[in-house]
Amino acid sequence: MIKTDKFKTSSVPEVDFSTAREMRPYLREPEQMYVGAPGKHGYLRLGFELDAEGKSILRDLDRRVPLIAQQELYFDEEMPQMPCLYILSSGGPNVDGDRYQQDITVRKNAFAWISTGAATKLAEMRYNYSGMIQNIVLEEGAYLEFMPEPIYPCRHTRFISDTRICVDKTATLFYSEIYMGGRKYYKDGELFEYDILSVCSHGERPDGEPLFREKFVIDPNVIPVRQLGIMGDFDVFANVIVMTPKEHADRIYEATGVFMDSEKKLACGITHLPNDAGLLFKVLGMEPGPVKKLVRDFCSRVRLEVKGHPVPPEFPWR
Amino acid sequence: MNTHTEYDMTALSRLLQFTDSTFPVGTFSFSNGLETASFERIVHDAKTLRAFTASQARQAAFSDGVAAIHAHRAFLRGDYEAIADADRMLILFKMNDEARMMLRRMGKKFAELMAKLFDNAIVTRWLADIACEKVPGTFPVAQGIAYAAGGLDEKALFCAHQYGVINMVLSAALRCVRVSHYETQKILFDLSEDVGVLYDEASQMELKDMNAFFPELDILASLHEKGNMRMFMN
Repeated sequence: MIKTDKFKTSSVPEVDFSTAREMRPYLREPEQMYVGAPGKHGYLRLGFELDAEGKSILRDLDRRVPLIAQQELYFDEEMPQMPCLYILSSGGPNVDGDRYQQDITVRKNAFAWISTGAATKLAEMRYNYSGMIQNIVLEEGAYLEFMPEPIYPCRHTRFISDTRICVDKTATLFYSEIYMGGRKYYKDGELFEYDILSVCSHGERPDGEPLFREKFVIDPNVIPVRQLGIMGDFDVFANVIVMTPKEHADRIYEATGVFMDSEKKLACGITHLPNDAGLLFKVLGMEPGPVKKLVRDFCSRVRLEVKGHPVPPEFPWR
Repeated sequence: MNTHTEYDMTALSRLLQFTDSTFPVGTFSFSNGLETASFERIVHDAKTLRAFTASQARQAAFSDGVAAIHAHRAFLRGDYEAIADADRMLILFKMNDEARMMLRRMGKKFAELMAKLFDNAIVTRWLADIACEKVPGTFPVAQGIAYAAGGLDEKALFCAHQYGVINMVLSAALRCVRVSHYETQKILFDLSEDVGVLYDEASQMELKDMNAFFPELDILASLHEKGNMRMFMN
């Protein structure tokens, strides 16, 4: 079992999913470095706000290894006033017993763009799991695009995340996640050979009013992932949550085409979140490139509606 | 000769009544996205229909089924707030607009019918709270209340819930997929064998454990939601 005495010596918030029923089979202490040991318990706190001149800046930064936040840059040619920040990990992939927490706040009328420097790899795990808690808070009029690179779950990985999103009714959040089926071209191919992915995102207003709760648990050993209706023949899945005022959501919904292209093996759909919280956009594909492009195009539609600018073309090396 | 080992005969009759296709809650109006799946040629024969229906049943088991079980248990405890919690949580969890509409329309119809069938304070309060939008009034929660009030246990409830989902899809299939009655009955017969496994899992879940990973179904539902074709509501 987990040596909680060691775990609790950490100075950063505890990340513990041991009460999650789907993780019960994966609570053994790793033979290597213990759960949440220094270097295995990443923490990141980012706070964006407008400075005295009205410029959106990264005001707060707190981090613990292995998470790294790069210097914010202003490289977005369509919104050069927007801070753009990459989150990196000095530890390489998430390994057995890793814990992470990311707290991101965008204060009143500030705006920001966040991504990761490269894909997130979830390594093979034998004893425990890798867990991540995220708290994303957007104050009045705030705007955040959170568009990380895809997540690659390797054979026998176990990953769980809980993302709490608290968004003022005047703010807009674009939050995307792309999940690969695995290392498709590794050796003979490695698709849906992980042990479990458990992903929960839940939205609320600042007064605590719950808005939606989406949870998916993918356990390829139990559920028929390839069954029609689940992944079918597709290998890549993207999930995008857009929390935005209803008038924006309605126009974005109308402007977004949905399709299922059996030749290109690419599909996307959109619907409204409960309680007029915004939109949910989903993409299925075979390779990360076309899926990322659809997610980015959708982000451009959101930005055009909310900020009046499109998202510039992706850098050719990304 | 033992004629009533598990249910009394009145309760069994209630089960037949609540699951009958003529029970007026409007199940005939919905296809759960099958119409689009058929148009897109994703569901085109008995084999693909069976897979599609199995996914629908599994998706419902770990969301609607869980909420129904919790409502059933709460009714037996006389815990109205827990019924309301199950109701609200299910709507928070339902990501598809048309699915939310379906659950609320059928739930309200069931609640109105229950108010005629049962003289029960919880039923009366729930219907009143639906009317003033204090609770969403979802169909699985209505099932949980009705089955508990009707003297049926939660296994019967779960079977009825699964039967309802499967039968809704298969009934729609007869109108938009090239399959026969023989084939749909065979699918229903076979998928019934999975109900016990799904119940074992769903019956241990808390409301916060509800989960669904059916992106292909979600996209098909979205295509229907934004499309112009309308034989069914979804």
